[in-house]
Amino acid sequence: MTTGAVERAVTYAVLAAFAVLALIPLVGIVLAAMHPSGELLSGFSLPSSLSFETFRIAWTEGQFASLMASSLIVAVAVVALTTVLSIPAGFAFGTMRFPGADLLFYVMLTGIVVPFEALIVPLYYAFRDHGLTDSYWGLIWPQTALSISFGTFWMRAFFRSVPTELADAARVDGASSWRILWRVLVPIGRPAILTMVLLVFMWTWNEFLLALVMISDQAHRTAPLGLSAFQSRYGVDIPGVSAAAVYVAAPVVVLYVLLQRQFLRGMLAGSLKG
Amino acid sequence: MAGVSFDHVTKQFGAVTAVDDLTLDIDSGEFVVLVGPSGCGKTTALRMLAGLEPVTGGRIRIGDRDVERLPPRQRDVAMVFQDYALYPQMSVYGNLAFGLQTRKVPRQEVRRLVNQAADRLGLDALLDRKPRQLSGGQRQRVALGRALVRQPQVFLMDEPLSNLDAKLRVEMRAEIKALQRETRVTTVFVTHDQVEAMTMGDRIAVMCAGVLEQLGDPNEVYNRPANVFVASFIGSPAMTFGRFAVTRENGRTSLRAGPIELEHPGPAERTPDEVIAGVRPEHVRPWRADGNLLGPFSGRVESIEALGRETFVGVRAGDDLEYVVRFDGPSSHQIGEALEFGIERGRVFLFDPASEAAIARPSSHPPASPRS
Repeated sequence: MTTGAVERAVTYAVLAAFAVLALIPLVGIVLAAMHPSGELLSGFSLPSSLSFETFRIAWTEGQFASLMASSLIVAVAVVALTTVLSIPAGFAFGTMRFPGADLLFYVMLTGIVVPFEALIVPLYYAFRDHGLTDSYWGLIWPQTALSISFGTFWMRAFFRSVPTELADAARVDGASSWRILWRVLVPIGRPAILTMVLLVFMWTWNEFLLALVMISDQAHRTAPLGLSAFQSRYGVDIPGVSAAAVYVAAPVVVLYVLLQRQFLRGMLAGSLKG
Repeated sequence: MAGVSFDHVTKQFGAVTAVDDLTLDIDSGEFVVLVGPSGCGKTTALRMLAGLEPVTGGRIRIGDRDVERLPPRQRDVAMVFQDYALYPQMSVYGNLAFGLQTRKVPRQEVRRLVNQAADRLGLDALLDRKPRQLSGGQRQRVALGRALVRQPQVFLMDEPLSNLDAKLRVEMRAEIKALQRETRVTTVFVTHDQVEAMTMGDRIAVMCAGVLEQLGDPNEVYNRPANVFVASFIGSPAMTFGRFAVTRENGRTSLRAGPIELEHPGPAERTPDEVIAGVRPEHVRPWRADGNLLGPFSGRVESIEALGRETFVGVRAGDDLEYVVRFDGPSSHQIGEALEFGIERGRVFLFDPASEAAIARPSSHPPASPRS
């Protein structure tokens, strides 16, 4: 074998090892979900027969139709609000010079820096006083506020990476800042924007603690909370909770697969100009 | 069309003065080239004219309007950028139409104007393509088309040819010049390339360190440089300089530096005791005793630049004395060899060693006042 072939073989071997390491827990969950509901399992075990019965039981017992709808409402609202607000904010911080810009930006960053767990108790009391617990808004507002910090930070980095000549050309062509943003810069920022959309969707969809604290009625519970339905005083229904975990993870995986090409480009956009 | 004037315009970035008290009047329909080395303030001046950079002080007028406080869209100028700055997600048609659509020109009229500009620049077949599908030269044409289609009062061009290869650059030079002659739109063209400046400009504004050093037509700037900077910047290969002592004997004034003795080129009454004497390479020739050359002087060959039709040989004639000797065709000299050369009579430019301003020029070109 030539040096190049050896190098390639080693590269593939290392990548394959990491891929297997990453996939083992996922495969384990899917296999566990194929066991009959309520069966006692420990560790990695192969089902005696291929059955999707547990998935059906988990969907009805966990009331996943309602949980997924709630999660979808919250995630779509948070993603939409974050996108609409982060793009202009990132544009302003990334391309405009105005007094206090640096200070404002650091204030904005506190949303990323301060751990959410530290805020959640006072947030609960504040929201309870305003009647926002047990409502979608009780989930949408805090998560939008946190996501805007990241979204602004992310979009600012993108707008800074775009050659200034492009906005200058549009300005000389007679365009206002608003038109430059939406007609010239946003179309070329699609990878960066879709990456932000995917990340914010994933974080919102997977959020557990906030939903646990803010929501107690079934109508507003989100999908991650549905996992707790399979835990009883006497133990955990491993096949059931595994099937539920597959339901909770599925939308994020589907969205990632759909957007993965844009996602990778977006992740590279900050480091490689043009 | 409209003229442009900078009236004592200054631009500071923090403690740095990028443009220092620039006063420059450009006539309607004129093609003026701002030329100078990197960082001389030429692009900043252009950006202030476009409205992309606010002025720190002074006034800018386009036609009879003060524009220094107006946003770019109210100035009615069009600009061609160094990197073209085409909108990557739009087709060529979209790029050309964008400025018109922004100004709410009716759709039919947009189509007519875009087609007209595309026809003029040979872009008809490319209208549906995206910029990434075009060659460098085609992108350059689209950038020009985007400026042309708007029919502005003033064209601003910021080193638009610097990304093209040498052959294409020469073609586009001629094309831009022809386009400007045809449209008679006042044009301000920025370049660091003095050949571009000499070949394109009706007048050339030479800038250095934020200051306008000289404004004049190409002949004037070349033959009557206002100071050492202009003399050294315009002309390729550059003029060479040496410090000479001025001696007056029997009513004759001569200049002496080491082994080199030159004649004073003009009236010598107000010449200081020491001067900087500059000579252009085309006036330094291999020695030939025909009476037209001063010399012979002797130097050692330090560099050879063979261009085919002519060869420029760099020689060192003394500690601080270097000359470039021009040969017709090839030269057989080698690096390190001794070379005898002469300097054409009456071709010496003199500059004041303190101010570096011109004090005497070859007799056929009497001195111009600095910053004329």
